[in-house]
Amino acid sequence: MDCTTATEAEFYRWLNESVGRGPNLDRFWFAKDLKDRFQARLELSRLLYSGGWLGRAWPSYLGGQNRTLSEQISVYRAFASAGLPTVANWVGLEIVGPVLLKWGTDEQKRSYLPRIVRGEDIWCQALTEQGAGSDLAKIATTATRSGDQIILSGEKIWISWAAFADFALVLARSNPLENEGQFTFLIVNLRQQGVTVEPILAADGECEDCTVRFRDVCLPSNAVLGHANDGWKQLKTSLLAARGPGTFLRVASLRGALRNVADAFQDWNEFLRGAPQVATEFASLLMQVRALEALGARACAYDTYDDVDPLLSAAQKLTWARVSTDVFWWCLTLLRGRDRRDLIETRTKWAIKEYFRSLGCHIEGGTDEVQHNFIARRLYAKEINA
Amino acid sequence: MKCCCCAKAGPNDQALRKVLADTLRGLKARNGGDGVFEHRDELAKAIMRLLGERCSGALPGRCVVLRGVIVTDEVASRVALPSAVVPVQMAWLVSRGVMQPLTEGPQRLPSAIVGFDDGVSLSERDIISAAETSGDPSGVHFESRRTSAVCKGECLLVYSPTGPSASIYRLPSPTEDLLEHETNWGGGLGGVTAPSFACDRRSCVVEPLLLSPVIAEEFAHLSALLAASEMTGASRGLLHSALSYSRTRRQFDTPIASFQSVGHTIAAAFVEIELCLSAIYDVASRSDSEWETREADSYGAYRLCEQRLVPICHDLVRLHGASGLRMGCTAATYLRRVVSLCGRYQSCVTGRFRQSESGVALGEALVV
Repeated sequence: MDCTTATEAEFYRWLNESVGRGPNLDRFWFAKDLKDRFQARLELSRLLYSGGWLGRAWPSYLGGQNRTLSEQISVYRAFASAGLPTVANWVGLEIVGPVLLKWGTDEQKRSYLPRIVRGEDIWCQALTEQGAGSDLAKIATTATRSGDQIILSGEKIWISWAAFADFALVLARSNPLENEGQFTFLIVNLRQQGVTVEPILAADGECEDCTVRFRDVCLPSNAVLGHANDGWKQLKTSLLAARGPGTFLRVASLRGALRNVADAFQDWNEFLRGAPQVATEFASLLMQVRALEALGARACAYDTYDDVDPLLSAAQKLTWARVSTDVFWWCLTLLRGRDRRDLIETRTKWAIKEYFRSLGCHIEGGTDEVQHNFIARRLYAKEINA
Repeated sequence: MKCCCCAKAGPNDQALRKVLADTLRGLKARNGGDGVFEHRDELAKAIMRLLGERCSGALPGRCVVLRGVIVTDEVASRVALPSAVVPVQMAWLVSRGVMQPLTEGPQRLPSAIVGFDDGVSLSERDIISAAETSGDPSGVHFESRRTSAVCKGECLLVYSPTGPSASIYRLPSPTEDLLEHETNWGGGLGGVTAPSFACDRRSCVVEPLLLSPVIAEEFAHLSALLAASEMTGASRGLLHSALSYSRTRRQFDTPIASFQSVGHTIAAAFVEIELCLSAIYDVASRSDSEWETREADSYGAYRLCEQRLVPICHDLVRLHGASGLRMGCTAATYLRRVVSLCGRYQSCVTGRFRQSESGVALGEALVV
């Protein structure tokens, strides 16, 4: 048995003993509202951390286990096989975490990373603004030095999970009068004075995204991530992490989504035998999900976050968005109109929400158009260099 | 060195691809121009040597299937013909101990192991029929029948699910008529009629008792996986052709590569090819480490390639304008190859893969 399966086998053993399988996982999937679902998935994060399954690629003195990124990815694949949903603190674990690891000061790493991996602090990332979505160079939020302090002013929009977050990594234009075109990432406590978080009601009836306003928020100088004016370089790390390991962690939940549909039927196998077209669609989607997991594993097959393959990550992000929409549309169309037994009812509501949510996958972390442009540019550049 | 099963053929496949690229360059340099097809025996033997080495420095020697799909993909992306499938199949048979390496001596390697009816001789109706006609233990005899076999078949896998064994025979003469059809649009698509022929026992490459039905079954899965990787390779060749063409072709006084719609078509093709390749790598890794059933996986990967690659190949050919459809054009050749690889395992896909869908439904793939 190779080392990947040994790790996965260990995880399944732990899961069976600590959490259970099948219906035991339902509480992490289905909840009456977003808040309950978030709390359930936060509980899942903490359980997984207690078992040593999160932050494996992080240094041990920061709450990790000194393993490699590829090993963490193989654990995420085990999450997929087991049918787990995405954990609540995925932004902290796979987007903010890698950025802090690479660019943060030692003090920042020690202060924030152990609390992220333990699920004690929830983080979000505040990048986009009205009129500055894909074109982040147009952001208007400013960070201005005033003595020992930094004054943050501006408004961010479409910030996922901000309503539940304790901290945000905020991209701001640095001292606009002196450093035109320079950007700085700031670590902002969302509970502090001057910060307001306003949820946005989405088409799925949930408020996952928010508007976050900063009205002359006073920040200490150590709120600057690493060094001032390094924001653009840091942003690249963030985007790469979001498309690579960050996406992978969310890909893992797709297989669980398919299983949720199968579980809604009294005898799924019997149902499939009488519905060959559904069986074919199901098999095709499952194959695509598994291929997507394999693609993600290839993108992150290296030892560190710095080596994540940018082209394969972009391919993973694009495919994840497409397959997510396909999967949830399929779930929705299959469940809708069936017998209104309780199980089906719960899952139909869940499928409707997830379907609408999946449409956002084509936008967040770089739109499909941006990813296509990025891939095309890279391929043409590679061809010239070949 | 990383275990390829852990790395899922991530970083290490590049080393193997480089060795292959060097081999192909060397062949072209020695033989002049594009003489790879004429010297396919040399290429085949090089591939078998590469796969036969216990450790090539690229991937561990035990990963024959994974290395095989990488080789097949890379060769298919670099040369329209010949295929690397047969040398890989041969190397696999050698690794399973059912035949001796054929790399030495004057004998020619087969360019294809042909089958009859839909696939590599694995449509059960025809296989059983073949087994029945080969009641004479001294050899096999085939009646004329329709086939979608690939070009220049020289060997035939005779597999009988009801019989005690399977074997491989060398055909009395290469099936040149199939080559004729293959290079035209009809070849490999609608099927052609193969001539009647007989093989005597002396032409047996793999003795019946050595090739058990179990191994023959695995051979079928491997063949489906190799066909899938040949599709990804040919698609990649088409992608490279489209990249190159769109950089040089000018319209409205600018290279068409600068048009966003062209860039997006290229990017979308890249994404689908990498997705399919990932599925193939994954199945190959599992096959090598023997910790998951490969039957459903192999046909699943094959079907994924059929579904996802054909549309992007249409788009890539369209990028070449009308010249992409001219006979002899590189783009058309790659497309023909991809299309001719489709539907080859129809009976397997509709039979075995459909059966496996029930297996999937039972939770085989969803619940570990």
